[in-house]
Order: sequence, then structure tokens, then C-alpha cells
Amino acid sequence: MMAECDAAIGRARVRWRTPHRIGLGLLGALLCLAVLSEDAHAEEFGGLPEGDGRIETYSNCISCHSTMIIRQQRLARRTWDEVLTWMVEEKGMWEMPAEVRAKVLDYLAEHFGPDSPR
Amino acid sequence: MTERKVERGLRELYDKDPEHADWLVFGRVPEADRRGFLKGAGLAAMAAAVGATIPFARNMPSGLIPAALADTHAEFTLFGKQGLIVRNDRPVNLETPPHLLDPDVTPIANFFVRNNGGVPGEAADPDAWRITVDGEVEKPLELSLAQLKSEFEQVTLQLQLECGGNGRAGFNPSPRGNQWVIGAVGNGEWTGCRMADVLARAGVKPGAVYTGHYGADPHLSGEAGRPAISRGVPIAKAMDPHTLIVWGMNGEPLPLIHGGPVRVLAPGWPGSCSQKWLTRVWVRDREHDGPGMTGMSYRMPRNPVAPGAEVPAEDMGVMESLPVKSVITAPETNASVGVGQPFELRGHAWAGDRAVRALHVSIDFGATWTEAKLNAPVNRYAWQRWSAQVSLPAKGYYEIWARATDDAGVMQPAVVPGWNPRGYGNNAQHRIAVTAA
Repeated sequence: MMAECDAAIGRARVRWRTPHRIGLGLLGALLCLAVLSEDAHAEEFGGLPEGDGRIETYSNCISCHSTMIIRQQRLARRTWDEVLTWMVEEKGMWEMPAEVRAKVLDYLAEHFGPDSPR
Repeated sequence: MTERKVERGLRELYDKDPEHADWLVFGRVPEADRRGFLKGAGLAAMAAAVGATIPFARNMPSGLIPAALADTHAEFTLFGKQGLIVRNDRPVNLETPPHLLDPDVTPIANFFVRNNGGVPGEAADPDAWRITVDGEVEKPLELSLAQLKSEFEQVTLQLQLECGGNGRAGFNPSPRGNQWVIGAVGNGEWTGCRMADVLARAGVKPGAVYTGHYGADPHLSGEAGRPAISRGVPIAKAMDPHTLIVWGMNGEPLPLIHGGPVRVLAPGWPGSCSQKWLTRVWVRDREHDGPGMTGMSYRMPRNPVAPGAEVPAEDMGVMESLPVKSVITAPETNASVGVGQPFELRGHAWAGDRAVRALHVSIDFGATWTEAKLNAPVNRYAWQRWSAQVSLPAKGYYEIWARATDDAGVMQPAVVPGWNPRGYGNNAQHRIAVTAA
């Protein structure tokens, strides 16, 4: 499980933009705790719906903001793509490895797209 | 139930003073580098709370709410707020339902909250809070709140304050951001001094173009020294006698959640011009370029664009005055009234830098309109009370629409105005449902 969580946030390959950021290992550890202890409860993913990419989305987003801002959105895939780029360029987010980023983008576009139910 | 209360309390503690919360909740004392757990203090408690050992505990920054506990969405009743809609809990963004906007001066308990970053710790000695004024000035200043209070003329004004994204939820395609419906607005009674007077003391140089405001709110990433947001206004707006540096709200010291002890209040413009937790006014020789000034943020297309269009950055310009708008505050939507029984409709209207000249209401989906009584603002930039007596002619479902017209003859549109990438400036007419029985 720990390895799976590390993979989810792309542990070995994340590039840090500043030395003061939260230690990645710590993040992985805490997220794994969340996943391990509360897997049965969707609330531990901040109410994100089940689906491929949920762990990646949760673990890469919630160190700065809660899932409420995600769950409000109904954005086209292109806009989600821009949001992820903007988060890195403007908001101090770490850069996700390409395959993790792709999973997050797929997840967001599928569950929080223009036609997703409110 | 108990668990929810505990979680809510936890978030509240961490929002106010994260390091103190660490100590209070877990007994945690960090190492000198503000990471880890000095002599293990608090580690066992935190491990118990998250349900397992924490292998990388030495790296854990102090004041960091454990992620396993952080992301709950329990009912949110922080900062003494009542009846507000939680758009976001981290960062805190709270919207006022229209019927709670009914008083002339919006009570603090009901006033909307828009934050871009965290909430800084409460100042132990508010009067010692300091702001600097520097940049394109003859004489840079450093002023305490006590000096602002004693050395400048004190003014109290009712001023409307609205988020630039108020109404974003109405746009299609849906722009990203908090999905405000209509209640990211309020009319406070603010006490402070004129920014113009402070700038005059510093001596604004002829090359001054814009202000850049900085605040003490921490960036969401936790990166020290990174501004959560830093916007400003053209010098002419900064010198307007209604643009204030504020320390009082509705007769009370400015509450922490509203930017206390000191904030800017630049009325009629996007709320982000009214920097909270003000620490610095940097007078610039160019348009300010802090976070929130560039790209698509708080900018509108210079020319109209099709819904969903990709707009090049060079075609976007900074938003200034917000457009004419109104809200129906009574009755509350979905009210039931008697057939033929007159009842009072009322609300407020405002128009950015302008005043409102007329307010009309319709009970028939905009086919016919009746002029309401409209009060003059108590001072410029205060919102204006309107009221009308109406009655509904037959049993059934009605919508009541309100339409304000500003002093340049510009009206609120019945439909959502021009789409823009971030969903600003939606001033479509407010509609409520009323049933006659």
C-alpha cells in the first residue's frame, strides 16, 4: 500500500520548486494513512467520487486546498488542463510526473466535466 | 456528531494559529527548524489521531494539520458566521443568501468572506500593526495602526464591497473558480482613514501609476514570503476620498476574517482591490503585476468574445468598476402570498463607481415593469434601498424580477452578460419565486 501511494504522487520523480515545501515522504506517509485507515469511507477523499485517478487527484491537490473547490467545478477537459498548468506556474504546486498528471486530468475531466451531475 | 464537532474545532484552531494548535491538540513542540517533534513531544498523540505511526515525522513542518484529519466537509460555522453558504472551506469562502442581505448595513455575522490564502494569526496588539508605504513616493512611511488612528482624519462610510466573481455560477460554459450565485456582496459601515491622506503624507511622485497592496495572509502552499494575492488600483482610484484604509466595521474593530486589524476598502471595484491584513502599499510606476493582476485573473476581454472562447492574454484588460446590480432581499424566494394581497418587495441596488438612478420590478417575466421607490445612497458608494408594494392577481407561480438602471442609463440585463474566461461581472437581474394562493 505504501508503495502504491508513493507511486500515486510520483514520489521518486517529483521536482521541487522550493526547498521549503512539505516533505514528499511525509505527504506520502500521511496520505497512505488516510487511504489505509479510511478506505471504506468516501469522505476521507474529501467526498471525491470513486474512480480511476481519485487517489492521485486527492493526494496532489489537498495539501493546499480542500476538495470543495474541485467539487464545485464543471469544466471542459481543456480548462482542467489549463488549471493544472496554472497551479504549477502560478500557485506553487509541484510538477507531477507526466503519467500522474494524465491520470489526474482524466479523473477531473470525467467526474467534473460540463455534463457531470451537480 | 461529536466527531464532526472535534474536526470543526481542529480546523478552526489551525486556521487561527497553526503552531499553537499543534501544541494545544497534540502537545507538539517542534525542533528549532520548525519541523519534527522535539524529544518526541506530541508525536504519539498525533500518531494516535491519524491511526498509525508517522515514519517521516522528523520532516513534518510544525503547524501542519495532518492531511488525514484536514479534509472533512463537516458543517462549517467558523468566525461567528451565521446562515452563510460554504463555497469553500480551505481557503474559506462564504456566500450570503439574498434574504440575509436585507438590513441596510450587512451584519458582520452575515457578511460574505472571500479569501485567496490562509487566515493569519490574530494580532496580539492590533495598535502595533504596521504598514509601509513605499515605491514612487518622496518619503517612504512606516505607520502603526495607532498612528493611522491618531494622525489622520477618521472617516466612517457605508461602502458596498463585492467579489468580482459574484454571479460566476450563471455563466455557461462554467468558468473555474468559486461558484458564487449572488451573495458575494455586502454593505458595511467602515471606519478608517483616506488612503489619499496617507499617500499625500508620503508624497506621491509624478511617475506614480498604480498601487500594489500586500497582506499578511499566508499562501496556500505554505511557502513563506509568497503573497496569496497582491492587487492594487490606479492612482486616481487610490486618491478617491472613498478609498480607505480601514480598521473598523459596523462599529467594531475590523474582525480578523474580514482582514483585521487593517485592510483596504476600495469600493465599487472587485473586492480583491481591497487587500485584507494590509502590510504594505507599494506605489508603482506601472500597472501592478502581483499575483492576481496578470494573466486571466480579475481581467475581462477588451472586446466581446463567444462563450467558451480561448482569449489571448494580450486581449484581456484589468477589471475596474463593477456593473450596475441589484438584489431582492424580501420576501425570501419561494415565499407564498395571498391572491390580491399587497406585500412589500425590497432590496438594494448599487453600481460600482456610479449611482443607481432607477429600480423597476416585474411580476410577469419582464413583460411589464413598475418603478420602485429608490432611496439616495447615505453616502457615495453605499448601496441604495429600494422597495415596492405589489400584489399578485391570480393563484399560481410567479417570478419577481428586479432591474436597476445606473446614472449613465445602463441597465441590468435579463440574461447573463458577456461571457469571459473567469466568470466576472455577472449582473443579470435577480429573480425570486413567489406563489399566490
